[in-house]
Amino acid sequence: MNAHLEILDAGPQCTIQDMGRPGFRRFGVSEGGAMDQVGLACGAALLGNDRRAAAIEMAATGLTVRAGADVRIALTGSPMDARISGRHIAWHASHELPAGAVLTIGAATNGVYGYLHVGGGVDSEPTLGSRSTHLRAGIGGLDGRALAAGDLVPVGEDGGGGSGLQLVQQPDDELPIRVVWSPQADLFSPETRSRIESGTFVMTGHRDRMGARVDPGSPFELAPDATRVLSTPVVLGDVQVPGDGMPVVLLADRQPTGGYPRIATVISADIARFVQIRPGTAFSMRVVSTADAVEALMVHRSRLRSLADRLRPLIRTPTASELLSENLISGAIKWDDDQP
Amino acid sequence: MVDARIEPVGDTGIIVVLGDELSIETNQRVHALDQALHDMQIDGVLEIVPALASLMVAFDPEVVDHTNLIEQVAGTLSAEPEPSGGRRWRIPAHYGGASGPDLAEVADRMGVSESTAVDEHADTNHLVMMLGFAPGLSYLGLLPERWNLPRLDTIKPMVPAGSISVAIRQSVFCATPIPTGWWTIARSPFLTFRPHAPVPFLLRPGDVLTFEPITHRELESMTQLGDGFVVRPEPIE
Repeated sequence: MNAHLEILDAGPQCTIQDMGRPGFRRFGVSEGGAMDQVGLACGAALLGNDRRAAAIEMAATGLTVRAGADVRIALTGSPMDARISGRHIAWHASHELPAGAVLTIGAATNGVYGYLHVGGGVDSEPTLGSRSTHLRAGIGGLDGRALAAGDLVPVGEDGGGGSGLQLVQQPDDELPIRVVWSPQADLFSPETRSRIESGTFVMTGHRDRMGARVDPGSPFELAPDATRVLSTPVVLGDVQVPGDGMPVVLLADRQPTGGYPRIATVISADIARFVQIRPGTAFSMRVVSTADAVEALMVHRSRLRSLADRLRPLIRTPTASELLSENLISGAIKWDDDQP
Repeated sequence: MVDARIEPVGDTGIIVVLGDELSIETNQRVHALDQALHDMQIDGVLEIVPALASLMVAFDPEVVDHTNLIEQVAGTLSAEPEPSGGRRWRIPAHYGGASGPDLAEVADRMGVSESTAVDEHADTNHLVMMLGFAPGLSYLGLLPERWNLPRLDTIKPMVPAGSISVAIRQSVFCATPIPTGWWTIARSPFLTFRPHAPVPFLLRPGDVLTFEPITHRELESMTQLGDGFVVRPEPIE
């Protein structure tokens, strides 16, 4: 039997995820995949995995696993309290997890979605070309469901490589979430549209892999013709305004088509940052042109492609003077677009 | 030249809106455009998603830019639509009873007998206008005018895979259990989503369905066959 991780305990939304399954929207299946694709890519870089490797996504709460064999692991995305046999270990880093050792991952301390990666990737059975768990469709992962105590998560063959590496991160800043107007934006009044451009939003706890409700302070005025909109294809990041006027940003496991009007769309480069906004956190949006959104996506992709160049040896217990001499900031990864 | 709006949607898609009202003619133009765009094999196009009266093209802007793609799609619109290559399916369905708990009220609202409602629904040429909402779930249309029923006031938490529900002159034929706010009138043993089969999705937009009423006993025996229960389509002449 190949290596596996035995789940001893799991938060309610721990799922196996990879880059998703594009190509099936015409059959009613959205592409799904890791909510924070940057976190997914960081794990592949830390372990030298194929970028299509699957990992375990943990929403706000982690899990406890026991290694069935010696495995390499990496922890990325939202930082969570992590310990191997009681000893604290660093996030955004790779580690050895010896056979029989217990890894305990607690609540997120910043952000929402954390990722546990294994050398060789999670090796569950792919469905429609992907291992991603699509809870709504009931496919992928282990039997299309969230992980639970007693599950054995298969680990793929590890091509080898080191551990004890880190990807130094810059703390989240508070730049606006960039959006482009939706083709349906004209269904909304200029006053409502101006609330996208200048309003403040608060992330709510009404969120899952399908979408995240954001609180604009008071409900958006509904488009006069809102109920007459025919279902059209929905894209990742669409800001949909349903009957109660409270916007919902549609995410990885959304329905592929929808009949509620959409006012704007979060740009591709900012999706990973958006999904990591914690409930109760205020943020603003900034409307950019399609050309600017594409430019931002190219910058975003080039940063993802150069992740391997940004690996550093893990410093287990750095002192303040060591931190200063390492000049962490210049080695940091900056996900947000350059600001003037 | 066909009247259409082509606009960017998000930063990696364009949407082609062929109409703001639902009609069979507009929907068939969606399928013709879908076929034409597939045949063009445009570099950088990742996915084409046809809907009721619109179609979305997802693409990689690193390979093809918005302006270029919009020009290529606009060029396609001027061509005469080709036949969409749809197929005809005759699909067994058990109407009423536990399979279709809302059949009696649907018939009552239309002022016809249950058997008249069943015959009219079963004999209609149902065009697969769109797949959406859930894996393999098909939106079928259009039923005669008297089937212009409102949606239910409440959402039924879950109906079984294979259920056929109606509202606003349309039917939805689901391939997985779904919550629905439509009137459920029948259930078919034929499941059109088989995640691990070589062909996971059996229906395609542009296909045409009729239903063949079966008894509850037949439903049960066909259902027991699982994926072994097969319906084969015929090409549309």
